[in-house]
Parts: sequence; C-alpha cells; structure tokens
Amino acid sequence: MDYLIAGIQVGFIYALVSLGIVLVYRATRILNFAHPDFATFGIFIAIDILDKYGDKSAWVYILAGGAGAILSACVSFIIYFFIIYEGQKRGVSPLGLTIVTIGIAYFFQSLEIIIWGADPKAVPHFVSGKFSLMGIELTWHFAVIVVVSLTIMFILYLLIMKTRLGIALRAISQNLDASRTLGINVRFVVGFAFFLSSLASGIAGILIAPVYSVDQFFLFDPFLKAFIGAVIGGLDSPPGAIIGSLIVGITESLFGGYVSIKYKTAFIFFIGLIFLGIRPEGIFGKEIKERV
Amino acid sequence: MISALKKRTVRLKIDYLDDWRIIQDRPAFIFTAVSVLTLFILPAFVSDYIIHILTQVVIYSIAVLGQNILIGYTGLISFGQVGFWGVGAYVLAHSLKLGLIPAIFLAGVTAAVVGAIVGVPSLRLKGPYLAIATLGFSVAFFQLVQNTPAISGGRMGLFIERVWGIDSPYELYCLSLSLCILFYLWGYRIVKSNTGRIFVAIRDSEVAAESLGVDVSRYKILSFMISSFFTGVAGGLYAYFIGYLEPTMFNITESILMFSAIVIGGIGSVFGSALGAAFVIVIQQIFVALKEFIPIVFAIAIVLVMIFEQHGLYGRWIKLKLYFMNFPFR
Repeated sequence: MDYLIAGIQVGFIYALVSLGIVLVYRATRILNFAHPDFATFGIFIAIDILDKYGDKSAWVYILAGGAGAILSACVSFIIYFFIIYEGQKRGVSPLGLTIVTIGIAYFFQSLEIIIWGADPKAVPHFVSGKFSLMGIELTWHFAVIVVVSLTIMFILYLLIMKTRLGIALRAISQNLDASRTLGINVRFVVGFAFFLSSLASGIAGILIAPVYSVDQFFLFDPFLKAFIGAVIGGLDSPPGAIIGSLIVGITESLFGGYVSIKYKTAFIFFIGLIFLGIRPEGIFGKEIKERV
Repeated sequence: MISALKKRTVRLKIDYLDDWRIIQDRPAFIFTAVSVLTLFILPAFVSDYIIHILTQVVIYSIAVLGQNILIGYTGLISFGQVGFWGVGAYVLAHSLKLGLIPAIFLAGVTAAVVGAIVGVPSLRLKGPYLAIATLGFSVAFFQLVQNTPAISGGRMGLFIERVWGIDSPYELYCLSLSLCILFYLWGYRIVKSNTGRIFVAIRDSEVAAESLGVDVSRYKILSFMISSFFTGVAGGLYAYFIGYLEPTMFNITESILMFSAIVIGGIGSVFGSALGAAFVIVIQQIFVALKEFIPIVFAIAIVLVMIFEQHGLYGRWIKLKLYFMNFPFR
C-alpha cells in the first residue's frame, strides 16, 4: 500500500512534466530535451530565494517556488522566441531542432555548475506530518502534490480549451501553415506553449525537490519517465500523458518495492518498449499515417 | 598560374567504380599521401602528450564514423552508442588473454551482436522515440555494469595490462592510426556501395524505399550492426589505450559528447566524422584549465551548426575548397 501511494505521488509529478512534453510536441513536433533543464534552472533560483529568508513559513515557500517556476517559464519562452524559432524559420527539420534542444540542455547544465557548483543541495520539506484518510496513512506532502497538480491540470485544461490563445495553439498543432495564413502569430503562441510547459514542470520540480537531492541532472530521470508515460498515453493527447505517467509512476514504485530497486529504470524502459511495439500511437493517440 | 588552375578540370564520373574511387586525380593523390605520411611520421618528433591526444582523436574518430553511418546515413537517431562503446571496452578487458588483435576483433563482433538486438525496436520506432529507446539501452548497460562486480571489477574499477609488444605511446598510436585508416576506407566503401545507397534511401523515405523493393528491416539491422561493430572496436582500443575502466566512463554525458561530435563534424559525411572527433577532443584539451566551460562551448557549437550550417565542419571545408577552386568567381 505504501508503495502504491508513493507511486501515485511520483506519478503526478511525472504527469506534470509529461504535460509539458506533450504541449511542446503537439505544437512543434520537437521533443524538447532541454525541458528538465529550464525547470532545474528555476529551482536553483528558488533555493537561492529560500536561503535568503531565515524563517521558512509557508508563504516564503510559495513565493520562492512561484518565482522559480515563472522564471524558468520565461527562460523557456525566450529560448524558443530567439533560438528555436530562428531554426524553424530557416527550415530546419524537427529532428534537427531536437538536436538543438540537446545543445541547449547541455548549455544550461554547465551554466548551473558554473553558477551554483556541482554539489547536490538539500531542500527542506515544506510540510511535514501525517494524517489518515479512511484508514490510510497519508503524508501532507502527498496531499499537497496531488492538490497542486490537479489544480494545474485544471488550469491548463481551461487555458487550452476555453481561451483564444488555447484555440490558436490547437490550430497550430493541427496545421501550422494554415494557421499562419489565417493570421495567428505562431512565434508568440508556440512561445506561450513553451512557457506553459516549463511552468508546469518547474512547479513539478519544486514539489519533488525535498525528496531528491537537487543537482543539475535531478530532473532528467523524471523527464525520461515522463516521456515514457507520454508515449504510453499517446504523445498527441494531454489526458493520455497524465494517465500514462500515473501508470509509469505506480509500476515503477511497485517494481522497486517488490522486485528490484536497482533495475527499475531499465524495467520502465522495457515496459515503454513493449507498449510501443503493441500500440505505437499510445492509448489515446490517433493512428499514425505516413505518406511518401 | 592560370594554366595550372585550368589543368585541374573536374573529371566527370562515368561508372560506379569512379564513384568508389577515393582519390580522384593527381593533386588529390599528393594531398592524401602527404597527409597520411605526416600523420605517421610527425608523432615521432613531438611530445608524448601530443601523441596521447592524437591517439585519442584517432580512436574516437572510428567510433564517430560508426555512429555517422547509423545516424547520418540511415537516419536512425541512437543514443545507445556509449553502450556499444562500453560493450567493446569490457569485452576487450576480459578477453585480452587471446592477444590484442583477436580481442579487438571479438570486442567489435560482440558489440555488433548486441547492436543487432538493440536495433530491433528501430523496426517500429523512428525519430525521437528511437532516441529514447536506445537511451534506455545506455541506461540499462550502465546499471548492469555498475551493479555487477564480475564485469566492472568492483569498486576499484578494472585495470588492463598491456600485452603483446605494443606498449610505447608511439606504437599504440601507429596501431590505432592503421586501424583508423582501414576503417575509414571500409566506411567509405560501404557508404558509396549499394548498401550505402539503400541506407540513404531509408533515411530519405522509408515507405518509398520499401515500395521499391528494399528489405527495410534487414538493412536497418545491418546498419545497427555495422555501426556498433565500429563503435565496439573503438571502445576496445580505447580501453587498451587508457588501461583502466570504471562504469562512470559510460554514462549519458559521454553519449551526448559522441553525439555532438557527429553533429559538429557533419551529419552524413565520412570525413566529417574525423573532423568532429578532432574538434571534440582538441576543445577538451584547450579548455582543460576551464573545465566547466567545455560543455558550454559544445552546446553553442551544436546550436550554431544546426541552425546556420547543417553540414557541419565538413560542409564548411567543401565550401572553402570550392571557393578556392574557382577563385576569381564565386
């Protein structure tokens, strides 16, 4: 039971990260390898803000975390606006732009080492203690993660389905050239998708930071698993990404608990491969058709 | 002067054998002969440190070439190269009793077999999906080595003793260089042959290639095998050259490094691979005092190359050559 709860907890974190992956993938067909690094950058800023304040009340945490997440989102927006869009304008293929994001990821990792050093940092828990719900012992940390992630998912849903910006985003993901012809500012709207995706994963990173030790690679592992979650659910569909990530989180936690903790990452990759073999477009994805 | 320039007319190719020819005309022959001789003779006069770097470049370029055949020619993005590199290294370390050359050969063959297995997902996956799947192989290999003392030699790492007459840096350099030249000739031949053309067809459009009667699955696996054979041999050679192995030498960062070598050198060019390998190794040596800045240099290089010059250093070199060949005009 404990493993199941830990799995759900980590699954929600993966879900937030994979939502970001899916948002960017739908809009640009780029797999953004720099995705975890924008978030990590924000988290380092958040830790710096936390260190400035002596007494760590809840408000300080919310302030620092929010500032870090928004900052990482802004960095992500700027990177798209000035670098990746430049590539798109020159007709670089999505695969080439994926390589560009690998370069950007590499850049941020080393920038973080230069500024903050390579030693892992510990982030104190922002809530502690337990409570029981229907006879199950739960930590407040778990409750905070679930509530915050559900809220963010709901806000993202509203943004994408109900606002003008979200409609423009969906139009771009269906047909880029047509939406450009119809007067959508692609540069700004896709930049906004990058902004949202980094905001979600920045918040995810801050929520999970007390559990891991924070260094410049600490979100890379969640990123890989979130990607596998997105693949299982379907890279085209946000709800699929959430469900796939929950599956990955729970499977990983149960496998780590009952079978072997050493090989859990390898096992998750194995599961992802099997899913890809059975249903390459994912549970909720549309079937992939290819033309010559 | 002008007549000398005029003599160098471009020979038109009339059959496939002409396309296979590496040395097209006399100036190219002189250039190649002089550079190969320089590569062999020069290190006898320079310091051991420079020989060390050169050996590293030479070994690395074999691996980068292997990866380029897979990524640049067949269009299968793989982050599993560091896994093949590691397979080669550990196989050599455990089979050195057989002698150096058989051990290197065995390293390559084992890596090729592993490559054939890792290549199986490539039949269903493409692009970023395949990249992540092969990254999974790298991660799995790293975890396997780290958790199995029988392979990795435990906490202390694995030391490799030099066998067979080759032990001075210069001899080792000559061995690696000979192997490197051999592999480059072979790689060039593969790329220009029927097989290479099929690889390029698969890269450009898998469906079109299949409709023209190409057995896509077979050639994808073949591409994986060739690539991992190259990488495995290079890994084995590198292990022998360094003389010491530990699992952290095979983590994901190393994969990204190898990947940046082909991107910077030029995706889809045989000699670009050597340029990329040289760039990666030499930059590391130049910035050795400022270790933190090395990845930043690579990152900026990757971004600039991908956005502004997609054919990498090799593309630059070709453009430079063309500029001087018809000098007054452009």
